[in-house]
Amino acid sequence: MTLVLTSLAILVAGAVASLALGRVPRLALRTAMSAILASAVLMALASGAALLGIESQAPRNAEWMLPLGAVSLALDGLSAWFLLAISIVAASVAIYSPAYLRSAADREPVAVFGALLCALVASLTLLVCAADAVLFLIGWEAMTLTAFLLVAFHHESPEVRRGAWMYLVATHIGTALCVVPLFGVLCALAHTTSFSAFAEALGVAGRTTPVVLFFLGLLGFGVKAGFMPMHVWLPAAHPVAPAPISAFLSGVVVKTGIYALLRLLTWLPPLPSYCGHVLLLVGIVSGVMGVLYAIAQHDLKRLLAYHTVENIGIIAIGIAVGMLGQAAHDPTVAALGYAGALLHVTNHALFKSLLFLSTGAVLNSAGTADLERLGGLAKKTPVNAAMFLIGAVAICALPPLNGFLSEWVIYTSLFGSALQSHGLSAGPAAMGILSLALMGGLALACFSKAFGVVFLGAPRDDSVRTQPTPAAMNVSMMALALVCVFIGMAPGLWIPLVLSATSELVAATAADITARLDSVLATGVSLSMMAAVLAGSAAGLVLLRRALLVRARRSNPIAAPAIPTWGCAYSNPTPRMQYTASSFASSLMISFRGLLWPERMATAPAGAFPAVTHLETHTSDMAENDLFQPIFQGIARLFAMARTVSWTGESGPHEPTRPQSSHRMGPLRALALGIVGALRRGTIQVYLSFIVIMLVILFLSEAIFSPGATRLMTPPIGQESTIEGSNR
Amino acid sequence: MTYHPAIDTILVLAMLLNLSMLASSRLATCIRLFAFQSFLLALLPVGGEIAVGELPSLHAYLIAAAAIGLKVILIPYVLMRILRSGEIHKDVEPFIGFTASVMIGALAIVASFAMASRLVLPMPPFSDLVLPAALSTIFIGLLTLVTRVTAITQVIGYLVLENGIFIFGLFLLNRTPLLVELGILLDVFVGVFIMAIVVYHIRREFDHIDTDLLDELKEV
Repeated sequence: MTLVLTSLAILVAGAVASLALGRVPRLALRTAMSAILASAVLMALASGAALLGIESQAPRNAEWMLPLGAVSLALDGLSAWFLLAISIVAASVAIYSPAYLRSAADREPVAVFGALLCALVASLTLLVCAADAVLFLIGWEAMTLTAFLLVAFHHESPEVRRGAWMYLVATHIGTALCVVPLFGVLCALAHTTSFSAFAEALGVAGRTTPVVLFFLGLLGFGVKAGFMPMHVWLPAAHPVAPAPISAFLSGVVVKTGIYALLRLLTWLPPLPSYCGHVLLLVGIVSGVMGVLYAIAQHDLKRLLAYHTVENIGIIAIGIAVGMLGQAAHDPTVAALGYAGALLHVTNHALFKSLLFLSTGAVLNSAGTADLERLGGLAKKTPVNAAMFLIGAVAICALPPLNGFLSEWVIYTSLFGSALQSHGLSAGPAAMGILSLALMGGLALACFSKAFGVVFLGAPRDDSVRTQPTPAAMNVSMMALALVCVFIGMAPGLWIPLVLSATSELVAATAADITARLDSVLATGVSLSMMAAVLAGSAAGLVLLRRALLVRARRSNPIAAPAIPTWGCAYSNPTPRMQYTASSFASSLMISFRGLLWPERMATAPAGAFPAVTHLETHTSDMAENDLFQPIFQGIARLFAMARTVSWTGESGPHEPTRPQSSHRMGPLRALALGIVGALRRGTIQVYLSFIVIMLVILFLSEAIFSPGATRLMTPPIGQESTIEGSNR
Repeated sequence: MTYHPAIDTILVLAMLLNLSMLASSRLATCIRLFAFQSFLLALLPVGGEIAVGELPSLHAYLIAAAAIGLKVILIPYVLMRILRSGEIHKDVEPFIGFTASVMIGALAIVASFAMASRLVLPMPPFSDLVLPAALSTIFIGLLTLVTRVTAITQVIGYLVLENGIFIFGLFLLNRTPLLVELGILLDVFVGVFIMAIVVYHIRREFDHIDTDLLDELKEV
């Protein structure tokens, strides 16, 4: 605990120093980043000690009292596990950021960036270590606000402002409507704001209250975590944030939603199994739709943002299996599910930060993340290409990297749940297995597209100039990649750590679960080893072929003509003949068009020598365009109506009309427009008739169903008072 | 069970007047019918108390006087003046034709009788017909509001609706304070007054009072 407090102090000092050194921005940024690095090391040590049980996990209270709660910090297994992920990502971002912002240091307030990043890490630490509801909410808000400011770092462009506001509004709606009421209920039940009293209070709270609280948490924390209908801020905020911030958002900030949900589960008594089924469904929808939307993207960062949604879905599946296991009183399956989810939290933090940092390096060297313009970067920035490849292999859950291991554990837990004799959870668990397999395959397709288009072939746009990647960037990415490989090859070291975290959630005998997890991981490791051998021999064969080619060329000086990659044997090939990202994804998009509703605008080539033709595809987010946009536009229109006293609800002069693709017509929107168009004729009489119809319906129902409906006339004098009473 | 032939006659006449208002296409006729209906209803507070065998109170007289003054004399006069100042005398193309609306009105009366028999009331009214008459008048007022097009008929629909509420209030007469009753009447008066002014100005500006076309006034 002392280590955590020290690192918090270092972070605060770093933020202050960075602001004080604002005149010398580079130095300020370096100071802030050194502070983050130092505190990350301390935090990693602290969490390691806590996970291994070296340090006591009792909460530490400070004398300083908050107006409502108390300053109470505790580092139990769950906190320590998330703190570990935070520290690793923070350290790599701290190494990466100065190089990323080097060119911007003269134009932009990088000192503020450093200070804000310090504040973000500090608030995250506070959030996961808080043992008091008020302190937790303070950390939650501080994290939201600092992350908002960091996302809006390049606030000059309207797109950036839009993404940042979307993030802020989405998370605040979740916080205001769900998180605050949730903690309000908890504190009211427990008569205190201290976390330690919540579990006991909920144990005697009856059957409905825990379920309601769980769904409040699912909605409120789900916004932050990015479960599927609430994920809309992720693809808006991630692409516009600076790359290190995207890595932080995706790696850690999103995970705080998961942390909070798990923390809530530690207080709740075992929930009925339908809660687990709902979460499983949410996970499946997030996972499958997330990866499908990812395939449809043209922007590398947006693609990665949708992959975050997918991976959050995988984590949700793991948690759901844990809940189902608890509901079925099978602690081993529950522990496996939670362990898989927790492992995937850390692993996703690692490889998604790696991918975002690598994308930042692509942006740094090529100046764009547009998949339709990039190409052939592997020749210009080979290290970055290798790093992206490692991240891609990890996120596709291929052995021998870490992503495979956590998904393997989740698979095993799903099988365990499916084989349970209770039968109730077998069907959903089987569905989970199938959708997890579908996600894996689609993720593989998606990253084949991303890696192939960005790093292989030739640039698709001549105007893209590439620069080499700075060494600091490479170092931080290599560190992350090394950790990925290390976890993948030696998962045995992680078992005691993750079990220490799951012990907060499942009360089961440790030896039992350790044995089970060991056996599960042993199979996974042997698979990993086989894959490693396979990959190694393939690499050996490639090297051998290259050596042979070099020798052959030496002996035969007439070189083969150099032609562009993927020239397809045309006599005069150009880079524009290559597969583009869209054409690569096209067949998948067509087979899933019932789920995605892609929009396609094309002018077909005509004649023997067609002139200009045009093809544009766009896949807009259904949750955003068909669910939230109509709701919010409806609210805006309501206010506009109230302001302008317009009878018909047409948009007033001040309502911002967002340019939106007019051709797109999603299924929900088509239905809604049809109904609204039928109802809205725009005359007073129609509105009056609505009121009349409503009145008549109310009146009829009152007349027919009213309990005291008797013959009206001549009630005997004595019954008059009873009739009056029943009428009330 | 109290029957008083005069009261029942008045109520039946009021219901028939509703139907004839639905049937008439001439606006002046509508206004006159409304005035007549209001006059008949204004007799009810006094007549009702006589019917239950009490001596009519000052309260009842006051209500009757106010109703006659407002709804029989003042409001019809204002509406007729608007009519005379313009050239509109016929309702143009209602959403539901005259015959059809009479049919719907008749159905509404039937439904009112059916419903009135099921409603639970705090005290028995002075006549069986009070409740059906009140309900059907309210329904027909709403029907006029919804189906008619000119602003004048909208005002008449509103007034007929108010007449229905007036009947409804009658059997609560002894319980309703005089102030509330008069307040409702004042409300109606002010409402009609404002509507009359608005209609007058609309007619002057646009040369028609067709509310179906009024939505062109909305803010763009």
